[in-house]
Amino acid sequence: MRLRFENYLAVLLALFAFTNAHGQTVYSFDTAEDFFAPADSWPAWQETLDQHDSERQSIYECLNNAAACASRLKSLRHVLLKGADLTAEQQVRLVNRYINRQRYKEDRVSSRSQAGNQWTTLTRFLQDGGDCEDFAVAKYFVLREFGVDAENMRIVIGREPQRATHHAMLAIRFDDSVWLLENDNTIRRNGYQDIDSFVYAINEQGIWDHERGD
Amino acid sequence: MKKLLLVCVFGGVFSSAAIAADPYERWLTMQSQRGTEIEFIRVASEKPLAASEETDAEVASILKEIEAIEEEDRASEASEDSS
Repeated sequence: MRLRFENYLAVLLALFAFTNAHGQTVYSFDTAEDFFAPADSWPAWQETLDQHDSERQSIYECLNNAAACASRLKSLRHVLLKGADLTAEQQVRLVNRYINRQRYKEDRVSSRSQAGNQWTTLTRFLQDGGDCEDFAVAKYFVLREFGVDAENMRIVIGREPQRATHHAMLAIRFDDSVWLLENDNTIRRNGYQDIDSFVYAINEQGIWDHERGD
Repeated sequence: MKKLLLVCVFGGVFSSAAIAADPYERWLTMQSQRGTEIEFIRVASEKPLAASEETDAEVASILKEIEAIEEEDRASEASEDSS
């Protein structure tokens, strides 16, 4: 009887360990095997990248001349000029906080109901706000202006089982850690408790499918 | 005691199975493995979480200046709208 009880206890402990192992899901950039396709394979994403590229002209004009700034770009100008002297980590904090100040707007749609452009450019986001993936994309674009390499940033989408939904955030690779920038101003450095698994990730270089092998 | 332990074990197994059956996950997996034209779902989100501040004096100072700029911006937009 004692032996049986110990067996049950071992099973319970194994289950407990399994649950805890999934408690903090850490994002890794070292997943070459998950690379799925170049960014232009996803027309909606590539279209957003192209659109942003064309809108950068107005950002540069604003940087050179405050009088040329559209109203929503004035604060961005200040971020880019003042933030230029900060350290890389401070720039990340600044951008996270700055973008998180923008308007949050729920835009839940399904792939079937709307298959058009699903992403928002930086200038449009500063004008209209957006929801989690738009926040992540906006942070990506601003940090690119600070010179952060595209290969060290991805917009990552994870699954939140507790809320039966998906959540997007920006992942940034530093020397020895990955920072996940949340839209509540938190920067998670040791994984993400609410995320069960990361589903896919994008940047201007490509798309990574993190469930490809499942 | 034995029954209680069995309930715990099977409860854990069944709840894991329920999570794995998430239709979003199935859809994404199928889409990414077979689709020639990639089309992902738009990422849904709940309301923003409660704020927890990352503090840094230099960053905080810039953010205060930004707050002032945005305030000024809103005021000028409001005056344009009213005129």
